[in-house]
Amino acid sequence: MAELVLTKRMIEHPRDSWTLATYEETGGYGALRQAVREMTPEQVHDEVKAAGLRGRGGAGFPTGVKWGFLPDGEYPRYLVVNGDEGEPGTFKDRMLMERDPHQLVEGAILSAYAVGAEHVFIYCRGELRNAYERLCRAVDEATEKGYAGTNVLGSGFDVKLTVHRAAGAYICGEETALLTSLEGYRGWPRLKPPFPAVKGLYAGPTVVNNVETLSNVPWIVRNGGAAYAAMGTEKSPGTRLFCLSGHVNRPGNYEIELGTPFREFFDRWGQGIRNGERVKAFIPGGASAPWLDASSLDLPMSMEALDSVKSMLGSGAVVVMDETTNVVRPVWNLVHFFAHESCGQCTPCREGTTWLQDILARIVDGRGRREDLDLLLDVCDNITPGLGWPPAQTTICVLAPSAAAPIWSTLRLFRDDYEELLPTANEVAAGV
Amino acid sequence: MSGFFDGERLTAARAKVAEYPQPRSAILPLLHMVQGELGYVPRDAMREIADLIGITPAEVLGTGSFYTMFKFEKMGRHLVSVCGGISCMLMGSHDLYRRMLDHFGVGSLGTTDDGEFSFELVECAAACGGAPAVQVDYLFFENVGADDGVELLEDIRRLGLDTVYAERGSMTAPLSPGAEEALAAGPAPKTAHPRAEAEATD
Repeated sequence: MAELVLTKRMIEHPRDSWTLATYEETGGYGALRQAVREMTPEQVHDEVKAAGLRGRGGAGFPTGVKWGFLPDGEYPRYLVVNGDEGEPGTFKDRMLMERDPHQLVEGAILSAYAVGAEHVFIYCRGELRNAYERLCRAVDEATEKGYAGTNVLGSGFDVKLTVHRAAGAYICGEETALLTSLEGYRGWPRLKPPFPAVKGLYAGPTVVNNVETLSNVPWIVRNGGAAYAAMGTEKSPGTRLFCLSGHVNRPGNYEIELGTPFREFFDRWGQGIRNGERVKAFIPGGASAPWLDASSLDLPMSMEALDSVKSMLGSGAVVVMDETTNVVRPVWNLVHFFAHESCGQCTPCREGTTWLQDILARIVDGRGRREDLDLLLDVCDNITPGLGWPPAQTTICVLAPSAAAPIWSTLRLFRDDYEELLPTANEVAAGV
Repeated sequence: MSGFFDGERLTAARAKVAEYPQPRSAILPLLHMVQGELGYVPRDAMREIADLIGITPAEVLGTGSFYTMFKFEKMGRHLVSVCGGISCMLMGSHDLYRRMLDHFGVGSLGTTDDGEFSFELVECAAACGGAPAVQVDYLFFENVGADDGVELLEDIRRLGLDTVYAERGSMTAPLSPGAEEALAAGPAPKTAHPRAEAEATD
């Protein structure tokens, strides 16, 4: 069994894992001390590369590789921490920010050291009041103790940290929208390229990393990249936080080694399905991921295994539905979410997600039309031609294809659920 | 002219603006400052923010109105945000919301006659492990059953939010009880109902 990288402290010190005293007593800021005194920035970068750490925000891009995209010699550089957790089903970053804010702060400082960033912005979801307050306090304490600010631990390295409170727009979790928002505008995604590494915040070179991603960095620096890479699978190394919710007996955040099969995850960690029911459907990786049915239960939880069934581990949110569920209402819920959160720039998204939501709403209400099922697929296909995975895009960002994924995947797996809600010919004739 | 940003508030606002390489980045923090005190952002305050940053009031409203947290009309003393996200919905949060509205005799987004509570059904609040979840002034209450919501709010009205939050609030997202045992090799532990267990360990 793998060692706990992210949650050991909060499990062993449930009452005060978030305080500076507990953090320091449990080895906190030791990695930073070691790095700024004994390691060059390149060496820290090399350890993260050797760890094989992949982004935990959804896309799963290798972190060390992302850092390597910064153009040589261009300064100032920025590091932006994406703490705008809002993907339905996801609640891990909230826990990391609330229960172990110093771990994130240390990870951010180490990463800033590695990439040569002089200013770190922690973009924290606005509704997470406790997370925001604890992060502010952690940054103040770290600065006071000389872990951040000018001349960190006497090393000559300067880094400033700012905790930025967002204000309720899911789209700002998309990295370019986040940067636009951080610059003080409506959170609109930008076309890529240029990628943030080249032209990011204030058009300067910028690295954007997720909260969980950076929370791994202190452990990696302390124990070495090789030790991290020894856990998990070859292509999905390390441990990972999975947010388990829905119809399981024991929902929660669990840090597990990648490669565990979903069935084992639901049975052991989730303590089985409520009321002794069986799994009907599950979302393997956040609201944007294509759904799976019980035939995929023995699939290992790794990025490559999910690729093979054209879905993804995404943000690590696993939502389980039992056999009493008609999937159409939960699908409507997600599509309503995406329609509400569309920023409005691209027509296929602004109009398409709204149409999808309206069509689903009338099906849920029992006012659906038989041709609606094909119409749903047609609108989905206009948004993401071919209905494949990873999705083709007609829009600046992937929000719209994310709204289509629950629809086309459930129409393939659970078409009966849709049919069941359609009025019968007699009902239509009778005008019921 | 006296306005919202006077004295200490003005000093704090200027410090916020100076925190960023470009002043416009302070727009959300300044809107939060106003809303944190008043519960909404009045027009006059938007004009002041515009002056502090060096943009037009229309740009402040145009930016601020993109973000659902900002309210531009007077709200109740407490903002009740019931999570309508998929996991909370699966666990009954839409019924919970309906019962609250029926009990207090208001519509969605409405405010009670005594000005105590305003209600909204919000997108996923990042509390799926404690579904159904409710936030009151952005403080979390988790595992609020459809029958428990009204009682929760009546208690807040009677005893105050701080008292009720200290007793029943969820300071942190749940790291599920039993995580240690589950992580250790061996058979899964037998557990009681997850909610009872959560209460026992908190």
